[in-house]
Amino acid sequence: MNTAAKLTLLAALLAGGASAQDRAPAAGWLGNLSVTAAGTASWVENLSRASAAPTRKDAATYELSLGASRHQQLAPAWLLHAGADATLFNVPDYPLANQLKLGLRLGVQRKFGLGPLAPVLQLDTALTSKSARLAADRGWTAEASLRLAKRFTSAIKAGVSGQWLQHDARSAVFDLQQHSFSVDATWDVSERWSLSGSVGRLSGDIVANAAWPVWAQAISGGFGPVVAGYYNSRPWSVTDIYGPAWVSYNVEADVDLWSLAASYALSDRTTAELRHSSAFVVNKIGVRYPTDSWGLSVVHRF
Amino acid sequence: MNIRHLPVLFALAAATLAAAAGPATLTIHARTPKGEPVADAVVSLHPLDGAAVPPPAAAGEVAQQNQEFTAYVTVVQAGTRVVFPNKDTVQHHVYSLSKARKFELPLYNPGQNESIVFDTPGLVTLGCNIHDWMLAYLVVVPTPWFAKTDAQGLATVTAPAGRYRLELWHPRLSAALAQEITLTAATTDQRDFALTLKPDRRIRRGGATKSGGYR
Repeated sequence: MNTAAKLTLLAALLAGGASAQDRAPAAGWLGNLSVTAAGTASWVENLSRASAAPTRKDAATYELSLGASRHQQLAPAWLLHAGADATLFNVPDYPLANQLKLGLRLGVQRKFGLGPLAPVLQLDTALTSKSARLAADRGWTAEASLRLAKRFTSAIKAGVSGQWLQHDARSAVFDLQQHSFSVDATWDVSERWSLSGSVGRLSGDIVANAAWPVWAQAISGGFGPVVAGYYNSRPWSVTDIYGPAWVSYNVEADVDLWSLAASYALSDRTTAELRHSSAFVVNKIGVRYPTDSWGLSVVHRF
Repeated sequence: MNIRHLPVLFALAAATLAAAAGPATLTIHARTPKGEPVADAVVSLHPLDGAAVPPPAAAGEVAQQNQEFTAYVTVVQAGTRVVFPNKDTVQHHVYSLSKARKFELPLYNPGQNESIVFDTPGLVTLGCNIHDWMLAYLVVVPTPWFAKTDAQGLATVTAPAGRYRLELWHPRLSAALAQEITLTAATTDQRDFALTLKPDRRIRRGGATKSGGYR
Protein backbone atom coordinates (compact mmCIF):
# COMPACT_ATOMS: atom_id res chain seq x y z
CA MET A 1 0.00 0.00 0.00
CA ASN A 2 1.48 3.37 -0.93
CA THR A 3 1.64 6.26 1.53
CA ALA A 4 -1.29 8.17 0.00
CA ALA A 5 -3.48 5.10 0.37
CA LYS A 6 -2.32 4.65 3.97
CA LEU A 7 -3.20 8.27 4.75
CA THR A 8 -6.63 7.91 3.13
CA LEU A 9 -7.30 4.77 5.15
CA LEU A 10 -6.35 6.48 8.39
CA ALA A 11 -8.50 9.52 7.58
CA ALA A 12 -11.43 7.22 6.81
CA LEU A 13 -10.97 5.41 10.12
CA LEU A 14 -10.89 8.73 11.97
CA ALA A 15 -14.04 9.88 10.22
CA GLY A 16 -15.70 6.53 11.01
CA GLY A 17 -14.93 6.96 14.71
CA ALA A 18 -16.44 10.42 14.60
CA SER A 19 -19.67 9.16 13.06
CA ALA A 20 -20.06 6.50 15.73
CA GLN A 21 -19.67 9.12 18.44
CA ASP A 22 -22.13 11.48 16.78
CA ARG A 23 -24.82 8.85 17.07
CA ALA A 24 -24.44 8.86 20.85
CA PRO A 25 -27.04 11.06 22.54
CA ALA A 26 -25.75 14.53 23.30
CA ALA A 27 -22.19 13.48 22.52
CA GLY A 28 -20.77 16.37 20.57
CA TRP A 29 -17.82 15.58 18.36
CA LEU A 30 -15.92 18.55 19.74
CA GLY A 31 -16.90 17.76 23.31
CA ASN A 32 -15.12 14.43 23.15
CA LEU A 33 -12.01 15.92 21.61
CA SER A 34 -8.92 16.38 23.75
CA VAL A 35 -6.48 19.02 22.52
CA THR A 36 -2.97 19.32 23.93
CA ALA A 37 -0.29 21.91 23.23
CA ALA A 38 3.32 21.60 24.31
CA GLY A 39 6.39 23.79 24.13
CA THR A 40 9.89 22.49 24.85
CA ALA A 41 13.21 24.25 25.06
CA SER A 42 16.23 21.96 25.21
CA TRP A 43 19.98 22.11 25.33
CA VAL A 44 21.43 19.24 23.35
CA GLU A 45 25.03 18.13 23.61
CA ASN A 46 26.23 16.65 20.34
CA LEU A 47 23.06 17.47 18.45
CA SER A 48 25.23 16.88 15.39
CA ARG A 49 25.62 13.22 16.34
CA ALA A 50 29.28 13.36 15.36
CA SER A 51 31.80 10.78 16.49
CA ALA A 52 34.84 13.05 16.55
CA ALA A 53 34.63 14.89 19.86
CA PRO A 54 36.28 18.17 18.79
CA THR A 55 33.81 18.63 15.96
CA ARG A 56 30.62 17.93 17.93
CA LYS A 57 28.02 20.70 17.86
CA ASP A 58 25.87 21.54 20.87
CA ALA A 59 22.77 23.62 20.36
CA ALA A 60 19.55 24.92 21.82
CA THR A 61 16.47 23.43 20.24
CA TYR A 62 12.82 24.48 20.45
CA GLU A 63 9.79 22.37 19.80
CA LEU A 64 6.14 23.31 19.59
CA SER A 65 3.51 20.66 19.23
CA LEU A 66 -0.24 20.56 18.99
CA GLY A 67 -2.17 17.33 19.27
CA ALA A 68 -5.82 16.43 19.14
CA SER A 69 -7.20 13.07 20.12
CA ARG A 70 -10.43 11.38 20.99
CA HIS A 71 -11.36 7.99 22.28
CA GLN A 72 -14.35 5.76 21.74
CA GLN A 73 -15.26 2.79 23.90
CA LEU A 74 -15.92 -0.09 21.51
CA ALA A 75 -16.76 -2.74 24.08
CA PRO A 76 -16.50 -2.92 27.88
CA ALA A 77 -12.77 -3.64 27.75
CA TRP A 78 -11.83 -2.09 24.42
CA LEU A 79 -11.09 1.55 23.70
CA LEU A 80 -10.26 3.09 20.32
CA HIS A 81 -7.95 6.11 20.18
CA ALA A 82 -7.55 8.36 17.16
CA GLY A 83 -5.67 11.59 16.85
CA ALA A 84 -3.64 14.03 14.83
CA ASP A 85 -0.42 15.86 15.72
CA ALA A 86 1.61 18.76 14.39
CA THR A 87 5.16 19.31 15.63
CA LEU A 88 7.50 22.15 14.73
CA PHE A 89 11.18 21.58 15.57
CA ASN A 90 13.50 24.55 15.40
CA VAL A 91 17.28 24.86 15.82
CA PRO A 92 18.19 28.54 15.44
CA ASP A 93 21.94 27.85 15.11
CA TYR A 94 21.48 25.16 12.47
CA PRO A 95 18.37 25.99 10.41
CA LEU A 96 18.86 23.00 8.11
CA ALA A 97 17.86 20.82 11.08
CA ASN A 98 14.45 22.51 11.27
CA GLN A 99 11.46 20.36 10.49
CA LEU A 100 7.68 20.18 10.62
CA LYS A 101 5.84 16.92 11.20
CA LEU A 102 2.15 16.31 10.60
CA GLY A 103 0.76 12.97 11.63
CA LEU A 104 -2.26 10.83 12.25
CA ARG A 105 -2.52 8.26 15.02
CA LEU A 106 -4.80 5.32 15.54
CA GLY A 107 -4.70 2.91 18.43
CA VAL A 108 -6.66 0.35 20.33
CA GLN A 109 -6.47 -0.39 24.03
CA ARG A 110 -7.51 -3.51 25.93
CA LYS A 111 -7.91 -3.35 29.69
CA PHE A 112 -7.73 -6.66 31.50
CA GLY A 113 -10.27 -6.20 34.26
CA LEU A 114 -11.84 -3.34 36.11
CA GLY A 115 -10.18 -0.69 38.18
CA PRO A 116 -7.01 1.34 38.17
CA LEU A 117 -4.77 -1.65 38.95
CA ALA A 118 -5.91 -3.64 35.92
CA PRO A 119 -3.17 -4.07 33.30
CA VAL A 120 -3.63 -2.29 29.98
CA LEU A 121 -2.35 -3.42 26.60
CA GLN A 122 -2.20 -0.74 23.94
CA LEU A 123 -1.44 -1.01 20.24
CA ASP A 124 -0.72 2.30 18.51
CA THR A 125 0.01 3.13 14.91
CA ALA A 126 1.01 6.43 13.39
CA LEU A 127 1.68 7.83 9.96
CA THR A 128 3.59 11.10 9.81
CA SER A 129 4.64 13.42 7.04
CA LYS A 130 8.03 15.01 7.68
CA SER A 131 8.70 18.35 6.00
CA ALA A 132 12.32 18.90 6.84
CA ARG A 133 14.21 22.01 5.82
CA LEU A 134 16.73 19.58 4.43
CA ALA A 135 14.88 18.34 1.34
CA ALA A 136 16.64 14.97 1.38
CA ASP A 137 15.09 14.17 4.77
CA ARG A 138 11.50 14.85 3.68
CA GLY A 139 9.26 11.85 3.59
CA TRP A 140 6.83 9.63 5.44
CA THR A 141 7.24 7.85 8.74
CA ALA A 142 5.19 4.84 9.77
CA GLU A 143 5.26 3.74 13.39
CA ALA A 144 3.71 0.99 15.46
CA SER A 145 4.06 0.29 19.15
CA LEU A 146 2.80 -2.21 21.65
CA ARG A 147 2.73 -1.25 25.31
CA LEU A 148 1.75 -3.14 28.43
CA ALA A 149 1.19 -0.88 31.41
CA LYS A 150 0.25 -1.63 34.98
CA ARG A 151 -0.45 0.57 37.97
CA PHE A 152 0.90 -0.97 41.17
CA THR A 153 -0.34 1.57 43.71
CA SER A 154 -2.22 4.83 43.50
CA ALA A 155 1.13 6.54 43.02
CA ILE A 156 3.28 4.11 41.03
CA LYS A 157 2.79 2.78 37.53
CA ALA A 158 5.11 1.13 35.05
CA GLY A 159 5.10 -0.14 31.52
CA VAL A 160 7.05 -2.06 28.93
CA SER A 161 6.94 -1.07 25.29
CA GLY A 162 8.12 -2.29 21.95
CA GLN A 163 8.26 0.11 19.00
CA TRP A 164 8.88 -0.18 15.29
CA LEU A 165 9.58 2.75 12.98
CA GLN A 166 10.21 3.16 9.28
CA HIS A 167 11.03 6.46 7.63
CA ASP A 168 11.03 6.62 3.83
CA ALA A 169 12.90 9.76 2.86
CA ARG A 170 13.71 11.31 -0.49
CA SER A 171 17.32 10.29 -0.02
CA ALA A 172 18.47 6.88 1.14
CA VAL A 173 20.79 8.68 3.59
CA PHE A 174 17.74 9.50 5.72
CA ASP A 175 15.85 6.24 5.34
CA LEU A 176 15.38 4.63 8.72
CA GLN A 177 14.20 1.30 9.98
CA GLN A 178 14.34 0.92 13.73
CA HIS A 179 12.93 -1.20 16.49
CA SER A 180 13.23 -0.56 20.17
CA PHE A 181 12.25 -1.85 23.58
CA SER A 182 11.87 0.21 26.72
CA VAL A 183 10.74 0.04 30.32
CA ASP A 184 9.35 3.08 32.06
CA ALA A 185 7.96 3.97 35.47
CA THR A 186 6.24 6.96 37.00
CA TRP A 187 5.98 7.85 40.65
CA ASP A 188 3.47 10.50 41.70
CA VAL A 189 5.46 11.78 44.66
CA SER A 190 2.78 14.22 45.78
CA GLU A 191 -0.36 15.89 44.53
CA ARG A 192 1.74 17.97 42.13
CA TRP A 193 5.16 16.38 41.76
CA SER A 194 5.96 13.31 39.68
CA LEU A 195 9.19 11.54 38.85
CA SER A 196 9.49 9.34 35.83
CA GLY A 197 12.23 7.40 34.17
CA SER A 198 12.79 5.09 31.28
CA VAL A 199 15.50 2.86 29.92
CA GLY A 200 15.55 1.25 26.54
CA ARG A 201 17.50 -0.04 23.61
CA LEU A 202 17.01 0.86 20.00
CA SER A 203 18.45 -1.03 17.05
CA GLY A 204 18.40 -0.02 13.44
CA ASP A 205 19.44 2.79 11.14
CA ILE A 206 20.75 6.08 12.50
CA VAL A 207 21.76 9.21 10.64
CA ALA A 208 25.09 10.54 11.87
CA ASN A 209 27.08 13.54 10.68
CA ALA A 210 30.69 14.47 10.23
CA ALA A 211 32.74 17.50 9.27
CA TRP A 212 34.33 17.04 5.85
CA PRO A 213 37.95 16.62 7.06
CA VAL A 214 36.88 13.80 9.39
CA TRP A 215 34.70 12.16 6.76
CA ALA A 216 37.34 12.42 4.07
CA GLN A 217 39.82 10.71 6.35
CA ALA A 218 37.30 8.01 7.23
CA ILE A 219 36.38 7.02 3.69
CA SER A 220 39.97 7.22 2.45
CA GLY A 221 41.17 4.71 5.03
CA GLY A 222 42.74 7.15 7.48
CA PHE A 223 40.93 5.39 10.35
CA GLY A 224 41.66 1.94 9.02
CA PRO A 225 40.23 -0.37 6.38
CA VAL A 226 37.23 -1.50 8.48
CA VAL A 227 35.95 2.07 8.88
CA ALA A 228 36.60 2.92 5.24
CA GLY A 229 34.99 -0.29 4.00
CA TYR A 230 31.88 0.17 6.11
CA TYR A 231 31.36 3.90 5.47
CA ASN A 232 31.86 3.46 1.72
CA SER A 233 29.14 0.80 1.78
CA ARG A 234 26.59 3.11 3.40
CA PRO A 235 24.62 5.99 1.82
CA TRP A 236 26.03 9.46 2.49
CA SER A 237 25.85 12.96 1.06
CA VAL A 238 27.11 16.46 1.71
CA THR A 239 24.25 18.31 3.42
CA ASP A 240 25.99 21.31 5.06
CA ILE A 241 23.64 20.67 7.99
CA TYR A 242 26.07 21.65 10.78
CA GLY A 243 28.43 23.77 8.72
CA PRO A 244 29.95 24.05 5.28
CA ALA A 245 30.73 20.66 3.74
CA TRP A 246 29.29 18.66 6.63
CA VAL A 247 28.29 15.17 5.61
CA SER A 248 25.25 13.17 6.72
CA TYR A 249 25.58 9.41 6.58
CA ASN A 250 23.48 6.42 7.48
CA VAL A 251 24.77 3.68 9.78
CA GLU A 252 23.39 0.61 11.48
CA ALA A 253 23.62 1.04 15.22
CA ASP A 254 22.47 0.08 18.68
CA VAL A 255 21.40 2.88 20.97
CA ASP A 256 21.19 2.73 24.76
CA LEU A 257 18.59 5.20 25.90
CA TRP A 258 17.62 6.50 29.30
CA SER A 259 15.78 9.49 30.61
CA LEU A 260 14.72 10.95 33.92
CA ALA A 261 12.05 13.58 34.32
CA ALA A 262 10.55 15.59 37.13
CA SER A 263 7.20 17.14 36.43
CA TYR A 264 5.13 19.62 38.35
CA ALA A 265 1.39 19.97 37.79
CA LEU A 266 0.75 23.71 37.63
CA SER A 267 -2.95 22.90 37.42
CA ASP A 268 -5.18 20.00 36.39
CA ARG A 269 -4.49 20.97 32.82
CA THR A 270 -0.95 22.32 32.77
CA THR A 271 2.27 20.52 33.61
CA ALA A 272 5.88 21.68 33.58
CA GLU A 273 8.55 19.05 33.09
CA LEU A 274 12.32 19.00 33.35
CA ARG A 275 13.85 16.06 31.51
CA HIS A 276 17.36 14.74 31.10
CA SER A 277 17.79 12.28 28.26
CA SER A 278 20.78 10.35 27.12
CA ALA A 279 21.38 8.33 23.99
CA PHE A 280 24.57 6.38 23.56
CA VAL A 281 24.87 5.28 19.95
CA VAL A 282 27.35 2.63 18.91
CA ASN A 283 27.41 1.83 15.23
CA LYS A 284 28.06 -1.52 13.63
CA ILE A 285 31.83 -1.04 13.59
CA GLY A 286 32.02 0.28 17.15
CA VAL A 287 32.12 4.03 16.49
CA ARG A 288 30.37 5.94 19.30
CA TYR A 289 28.10 8.99 19.21
CA PRO A 290 27.00 10.03 22.72
CA THR A 291 24.18 12.54 22.93
CA ASP A 292 22.72 14.17 26.04
CA SER A 293 19.98 16.70 26.43
CA TRP A 294 18.24 18.78 29.07
CA GLY A 295 14.74 19.90 28.24
CA LEU A 296 12.13 22.05 29.89
CA SER A 297 8.56 21.56 28.68
CA VAL A 298 5.23 23.07 29.41
CA VAL A 299 2.25 21.00 28.36
CA HIS A 300 -1.31 22.25 28.42
CA ARG A 301 -4.45 20.20 27.89
CA PHE A 302 -7.34 22.40 26.67
CA MET B 1 -55.68 -8.63 76.15
CA ASN B 2 -52.72 -10.89 76.52
CA ILE B 3 -50.16 -9.63 79.05
CA ARG B 4 -47.41 -10.49 76.59
CA HIS B 5 -48.55 -7.59 74.44
CA LEU B 6 -48.00 -5.02 77.18
CA PRO B 7 -44.35 -4.21 76.37
CA VAL B 8 -45.25 -3.65 72.74
CA LEU B 9 -48.09 -1.35 73.78
CA PHE B 10 -45.78 0.55 76.10
CA ALA B 11 -43.21 0.94 73.33
CA LEU B 12 -45.85 2.16 70.88
CA ALA B 13 -47.20 4.58 73.45
CA ALA B 14 -43.73 5.89 74.20
CA ALA B 15 -42.99 6.31 70.50
CA THR B 16 -46.30 8.14 69.97
CA LEU B 17 -45.59 10.46 72.89
CA ALA B 18 -42.06 11.13 71.64
CA ALA B 19 -43.32 11.87 68.16
CA ALA B 20 -45.96 14.16 69.54
CA ALA B 21 -43.28 16.03 71.47
CA GLY B 22 -41.31 16.62 68.25
CA PRO B 23 -38.16 15.07 66.78
CA ALA B 24 -34.71 15.48 68.20
CA THR B 25 -31.89 17.19 66.39
CA LEU B 26 -28.28 16.06 66.47
CA THR B 27 -25.48 18.27 65.25
CA ILE B 28 -22.15 16.72 64.42
CA HIS B 29 -18.94 18.73 64.35
CA ALA B 30 -16.10 16.83 62.66
CA ARG B 31 -12.60 18.25 62.88
CA THR B 32 -9.02 17.04 62.68
CA PRO B 33 -6.98 17.03 65.92
CA LYS B 34 -5.54 20.36 64.68
CA GLY B 35 -9.04 21.82 64.51
CA GLU B 36 -9.46 21.84 60.71
CA PRO B 37 -13.00 21.02 59.58
CA VAL B 38 -13.55 17.59 58.00
CA ALA B 39 -15.97 17.49 55.09
CA ASP B 40 -17.61 14.34 53.68
CA ALA B 41 -17.88 12.51 57.00
CA VAL B 42 -21.04 10.42 57.05
CA VAL B 43 -23.03 10.21 60.27
CA SER B 44 -25.92 7.76 60.60
CA LEU B 45 -28.24 6.87 63.47
CA HIS B 46 -29.24 3.22 63.85
CA PRO B 47 -32.22 2.74 66.22
CA LEU B 48 -31.59 0.42 69.18
CA ASP B 49 -35.17 0.44 70.50
CA GLY B 50 -36.59 -1.48 67.59
CA ALA B 51 -38.26 1.64 66.24
CA ALA B 52 -39.91 1.29 62.85
CA VAL B 53 -37.74 2.56 60.01
CA PRO B 54 -39.60 4.31 57.20
CA PRO B 55 -38.78 3.29 53.62
CA PRO B 56 -36.51 5.43 51.44
CA ALA B 57 -38.21 8.57 50.29
CA ALA B 58 -36.24 9.91 47.35
CA ALA B 59 -33.79 8.66 44.71
CA GLY B 60 -30.11 9.43 45.03
CA GLU B 61 -27.79 10.72 42.33
CA VAL B 62 -24.11 10.35 41.54
CA ALA B 63 -23.31 12.29 38.38
CA GLN B 64 -20.23 12.34 36.16
CA GLN B 65 -19.20 15.82 35.21
CA ASN B 66 -15.88 17.27 34.07
CA GLN B 67 -14.42 13.77 34.37
CA GLU B 68 -15.14 13.59 38.10
CA PHE B 69 -17.94 12.10 40.16
CA THR B 70 -20.23 14.51 41.94
CA ALA B 71 -20.42 14.12 44.82
CA TYR B 72 -17.27 12.51 46.18
CA VAL B 73 -19.33 10.98 49.03
CA THR B 74 -23.05 10.21 48.77
CA VAL B 75 -25.13 8.55 51.46
CA VAL B 76 -28.44 6.81 50.81
CA GLN B 77 -30.80 4.56 52.70
CA ALA B 78 -30.81 0.87 51.73
CA GLY B 79 -33.41 0.26 49.06
CA THR B 80 -32.81 3.61 47.40
CA ARG B 81 -32.63 3.90 43.62
CA VAL B 82 -29.49 5.83 42.65
CA VAL B 83 -29.28 7.52 39.26
CA PHE B 84 -25.89 7.83 37.52
CA PRO B 85 -26.40 10.53 34.90
CA ASN B 86 -23.52 11.13 32.52
CA LYS B 87 -23.52 14.95 32.43
CA ASP B 88 -20.10 14.97 30.79
CA THR B 89 -19.05 15.42 27.20
CA VAL B 90 -17.13 12.14 27.16
CA GLN B 91 -17.95 8.48 27.71
CA HIS B 92 -17.59 6.86 31.10
CA HIS B 93 -17.51 3.29 32.33
CA VAL B 94 -18.84 3.36 35.88
CA TYR B 95 -18.20 0.28 38.02
CA SER B 96 -17.93 -0.99 41.55
CA LEU B 97 -16.07 -4.00 42.85
CA SER B 98 -17.42 -3.57 46.40
CA LYS B 99 -19.02 -6.49 48.23
CA ALA B 100 -22.09 -4.39 48.99
CA ARG B 101 -22.86 -4.06 45.26
CA LYS B 102 -20.82 -5.15 42.29
CA PHE B 103 -21.93 -3.59 39.02
CA GLU B 104 -20.75 -2.17 35.72
CA LEU B 105 -22.20 0.48 33.40
CA PRO B 106 -20.01 0.17 30.28
CA LEU B 107 -20.42 2.00 26.96
CA TYR B 108 -21.93 4.83 28.94
CA ASN B 109 -22.44 7.82 26.67
CA PRO B 110 -23.05 11.49 27.52
CA GLY B 111 -26.72 12.10 28.24
CA GLN B 112 -27.38 8.53 29.43
CA ASN B 113 -29.15 8.11 32.76
CA GLU B 114 -28.69 4.62 34.21
CA SER B 115 -30.01 3.80 37.68
CA ILE B 116 -29.48 1.00 40.20
CA VAL B 117 -31.27 0.07 43.43
CA PHE B 118 -28.88 -0.41 46.36
CA ASP B 119 -30.51 -2.91 48.73
CA THR B 120 -27.56 -4.02 50.82
CA PRO B 121 -26.09 -1.71 53.46
CA GLY B 122 -22.37 -1.14 53.13
CA LEU B 123 -19.76 0.88 51.35
CA VAL B 124 -19.83 0.98 47.55
CA THR B 125 -16.65 2.36 46.02
CA LEU B 126 -17.27 3.78 42.56
CA GLY B 127 -14.75 4.17 39.76
CA CYS B 128 -14.55 4.83 36.05
CA ASN B 129 -12.65 2.22 34.06
CA ILE B 130 -11.60 4.81 31.47
CA HIS B 131 -10.58 7.61 33.83
CA ASP B 132 -8.71 5.90 36.68
CA TRP B 133 -8.61 9.00 38.86
CA MET B 134 -12.41 9.16 39.11
CA LEU B 135 -13.38 7.93 42.56
CA ALA B 136 -16.50 8.28 44.68
CA TYR B 137 -18.09 6.57 47.63
CA LEU B 138 -21.71 5.59 48.00
CA VAL B 139 -22.51 4.81 51.64
CA VAL B 140 -25.63 2.67 51.89
CA VAL B 141 -27.10 2.76 55.41
CA PRO B 142 -30.08 0.82 56.83
CA THR B 143 -31.63 3.94 58.30
CA PRO B 144 -33.25 7.14 57.01
CA TRP B 145 -31.48 9.21 59.69
CA PHE B 146 -28.16 10.25 58.22
CA ALA B 147 -26.23 13.31 57.08
CA LYS B 148 -22.86 14.28 55.61
CA THR B 149 -20.58 16.98 56.97
CA ASP B 150 -20.19 20.11 54.87
CA ALA B 151 -17.06 22.18 54.23
CA GLN B 152 -17.30 23.52 57.80
CA GLY B 153 -17.33 19.97 59.16
CA LEU B 154 -20.96 20.31 60.26
CA ALA B 155 -23.85 17.91 59.76
CA THR B 156 -27.33 17.88 61.23
CA VAL B 157 -29.57 14.83 61.62
CA THR B 158 -33.19 15.04 62.67
CA ALA B 159 -34.63 11.83 64.13
CA PRO B 160 -37.32 10.68 66.54
CA ALA B 161 -36.30 10.62 70.19
CA GLY B 162 -34.80 7.34 71.32
CA ARG B 163 -31.65 5.29 71.69
CA TYR B 164 -29.37 4.98 68.69
CA ARG B 165 -26.00 3.66 67.68
CA LEU B 166 -24.28 6.64 66.08
CA GLU B 167 -21.87 5.65 63.33
CA LEU B 168 -19.41 8.00 61.75
CA TRP B 169 -17.47 7.13 58.60
CA HIS B 170 -15.01 9.01 56.41
CA PRO B 171 -12.98 7.76 53.40
CA ARG B 172 -9.75 8.53 55.25
CA LEU B 173 -10.64 6.97 58.61
CA SER B 174 -9.06 3.58 59.29
CA ALA B 175 -12.35 2.33 60.73
CA ALA B 176 -15.82 3.73 61.29
CA LEU B 177 -16.48 5.19 64.75
CA ALA B 178 -19.52 4.10 66.74
CA GLN B 179 -21.10 5.18 70.01
CA GLU B 180 -24.45 4.89 71.69
CA ILE B 181 -26.53 8.01 71.96
CA THR B 182 -29.93 8.87 73.41
CA LEU B 183 -31.88 11.66 71.77
CA THR B 184 -34.51 13.52 73.73
CA ALA B 185 -37.56 14.87 71.99
CA ALA B 186 -37.56 18.51 70.91
CA THR B 187 -33.97 19.08 71.96
CA THR B 188 -30.75 19.64 70.09
CA ASP B 189 -27.74 17.55 70.96
CA GLN B 190 -24.21 18.18 69.70
CA ARG B 191 -21.31 15.79 69.35
CA ASP B 192 -17.77 16.80 68.48
CA PHE B 193 -15.41 14.37 66.80
CA ALA B 194 -11.67 14.79 66.44
CA LEU B 195 -10.81 12.60 63.45
CA THR B 196 -7.31 11.37 62.72
CA LEU B 197 -7.31 10.96 58.95
CA LYS B 198 -5.01 8.82 56.85
CA PRO B 199 -3.17 10.53 53.98
CA ASP B 200 -5.23 11.10 50.84
CA ARG B 201 -3.96 8.39 48.47
CA ARG B 202 -6.18 9.15 45.50
CA ILE B 203 -4.86 8.58 41.99
CA ARG B 204 -3.81 11.86 40.46
CA ARG B 205 -5.92 13.13 37.63
CA GLY B 206 -4.29 12.35 34.29
CA GLY B 207 -2.68 15.66 33.57
CA ALA B 208 -0.88 16.85 30.53
CA THR B 209 2.37 14.96 30.11
CA LYS B 210 5.05 14.84 27.53
CA SER B 211 6.67 11.58 26.67
CA GLY B 212 10.33 11.43 25.94
CA GLY B 213 11.57 10.20 22.64
CA TYR B 214 14.50 9.77 20.37
CA ARG B 215 14.73 11.12 16.88
